Amino acid sequence: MPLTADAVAAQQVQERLKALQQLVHEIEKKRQQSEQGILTLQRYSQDDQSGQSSQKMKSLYKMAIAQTEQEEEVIRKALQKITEIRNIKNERRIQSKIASNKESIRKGIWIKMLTSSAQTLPLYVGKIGEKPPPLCGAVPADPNFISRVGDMVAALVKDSEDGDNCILAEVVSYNPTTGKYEIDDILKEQNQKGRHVLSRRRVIPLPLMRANPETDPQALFPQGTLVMALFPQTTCFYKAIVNKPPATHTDEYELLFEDKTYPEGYSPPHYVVQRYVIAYKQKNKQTTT
Amino acid sequence: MDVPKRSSFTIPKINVKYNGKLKEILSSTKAKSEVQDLSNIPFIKQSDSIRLLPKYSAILGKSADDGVSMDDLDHLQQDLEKLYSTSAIRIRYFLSEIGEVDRNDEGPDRKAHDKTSLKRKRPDEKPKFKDAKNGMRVKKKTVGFPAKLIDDFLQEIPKVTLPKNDNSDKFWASIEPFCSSVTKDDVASLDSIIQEFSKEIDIKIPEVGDHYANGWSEEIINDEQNLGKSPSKKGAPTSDIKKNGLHAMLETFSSPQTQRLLNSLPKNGENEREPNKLKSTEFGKFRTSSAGQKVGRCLDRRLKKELMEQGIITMEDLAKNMPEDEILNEITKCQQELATVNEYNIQELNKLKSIVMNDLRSSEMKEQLDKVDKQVLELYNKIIVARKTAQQVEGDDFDKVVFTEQVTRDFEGQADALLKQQIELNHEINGLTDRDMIY
Repeated sequence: MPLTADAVAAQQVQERLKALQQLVHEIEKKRQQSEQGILTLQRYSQDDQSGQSSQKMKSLYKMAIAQTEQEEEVIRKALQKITEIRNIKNERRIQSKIASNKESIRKGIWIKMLTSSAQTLPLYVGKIGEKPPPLCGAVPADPNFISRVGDMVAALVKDSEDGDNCILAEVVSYNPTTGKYEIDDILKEQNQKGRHVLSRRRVIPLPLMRANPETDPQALFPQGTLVMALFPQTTCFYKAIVNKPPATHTDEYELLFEDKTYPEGYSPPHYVVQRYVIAYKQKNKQTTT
Repeated sequence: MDVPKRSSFTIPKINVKYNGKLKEILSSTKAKSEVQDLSNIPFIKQSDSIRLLPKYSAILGKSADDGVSMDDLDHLQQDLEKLYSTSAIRIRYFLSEIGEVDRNDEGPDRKAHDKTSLKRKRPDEKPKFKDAKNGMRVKKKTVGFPAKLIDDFLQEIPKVTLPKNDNSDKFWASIEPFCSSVTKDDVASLDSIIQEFSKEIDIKIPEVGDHYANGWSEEIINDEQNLGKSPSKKGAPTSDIKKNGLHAMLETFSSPQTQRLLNSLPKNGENEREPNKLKSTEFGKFRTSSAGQKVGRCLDRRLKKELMEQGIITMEDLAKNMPEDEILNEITKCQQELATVNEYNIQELNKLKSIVMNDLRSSEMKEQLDKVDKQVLELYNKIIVARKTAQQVEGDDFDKVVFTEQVTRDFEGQADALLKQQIELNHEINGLTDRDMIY
């Protein structure tokens, strides 16, 4: 049974990879057109500066926009394919996890996986006048949003030693009648005590998309914002202040973590990817490192 | 000049980390030639693909059969995102440039154009570009040009075109139908209206039926008769039974006080010569004071019935005593009022009709007068022509005098006739308008 499901998934992935290849070629064509348009535009603006007609300029600009939009459309399709492939893969992972009952992965591997998954989180580039959707960058989730099984969340769990702890976790199930999530700590060895069952209030979904700072800076936490962020090389969220928001879609947040061991009360800057930076909630009582 | 600049400008779009340094290069080249702001369009040249988009180029180089492998995915995604982001920025850039062109249509100022391009166009995007470190496209000097900005905005404002003011035309067009001259159609419509109003109004007021309360009391009487309680049922009109009947009636009054009063009445009544008559009047009084309207009605009916059976009261008497029907009165009054109004309306309509007829006649006159006027003009022209011909035919003096005399005489006759006609018509028209004034 799992074999056939795997085969189906593999086939689906193969189809998409093929389509992706075609799309890449299509993108190249569109890029060529765009470049032609831009060259025409540049030549026109340089050649006859004296007799430039604004109407002609405008029509050239408009043509360039149309070409770019076409290019953008194809790129969007290609990225969509990549996202689909990842979703299929993730689905398989969750299925096999349920089937095989917890494969154990060492912490180091987990950290690597977390970084890569954060880097490959789909990029959101808004069209003109479009508002970033919920869970894109710093945009909070809908009040009624329920995380799906397998989604990464920040969970506020009670720790016997030092009170509440905000950990990185994965949703196992959600019970709509009680409004409670069943979650797994991302670190398997922590789950030996059993799964955590937490109310919705204590589970914060992580962003599902990255915001593009160049087009949608409003979807980022501005400098000076108090946030909760995954401390590098750990799977716990801690309070931090945004020192510098990312400048490009590949950049990370520059954060100063609250740390009493430093005389200023803050750690030197650390870099954290968009996915693991969430809004700080006042009621989140938790200890700092 | 073109080549080095372009390459230098395309790189920073992708590797923004070098921004600081490149910004300087950029601004320095800018300073040399103000016009070349198009050289920094954010795009990745195809020739730079291999360097900037390695995975993308690699996949592009592969044959279709090889496809994309899973390992390539992460890097390909990054490359595609680079392209994606760049094209999104490019669209925004072009849009702002178009806005710039629009703005500069009136008085193109290249310098201002260069320096304020993005910020002036879409002020809401200002923080976007700043935050994005793409500020190198947007020159930071922008801040130094607020005056220019305000100037431009001021120039924009008076552009509003005023709507055409054709209100007076509209007004006269709306008035026109009321000022046009009267036609025969108007007379016809007036005739039809008058005819309609002159029709006899023949609405019959239906007879007033029984009051609903009468129906009820009848039912009650019938019920009682069926039960054999009422003595009148037997049809033996003896005074004894009558008295019993009266007593039975009295029992229907619930209040002990009224009962006592009523009890005393029949006793007194027996002394009278016409006890029943008296009783009926007395009962009439009690009826009004009795507790329920229904009971009163019932009593009334029963009394009447009995009295009629006795032969004391006839139907005619009853009819006389019937109270006046207020509603009927009101209806007839309204009908009368309406009739008078209608009469007045017809009068007015007739008046109007005669005026219209008058008007028609006068417009006819006017037409005739116009005709005459034309004839007069024609005659005048003829006279002039005749005079000219007479003058032209020179050389024969004698002929000329005779000719003119004859012609003039002819013309004089015609002119006199026309003038007379004109005067007559004018007189008539004046008479008509005078008559109009009467109304």
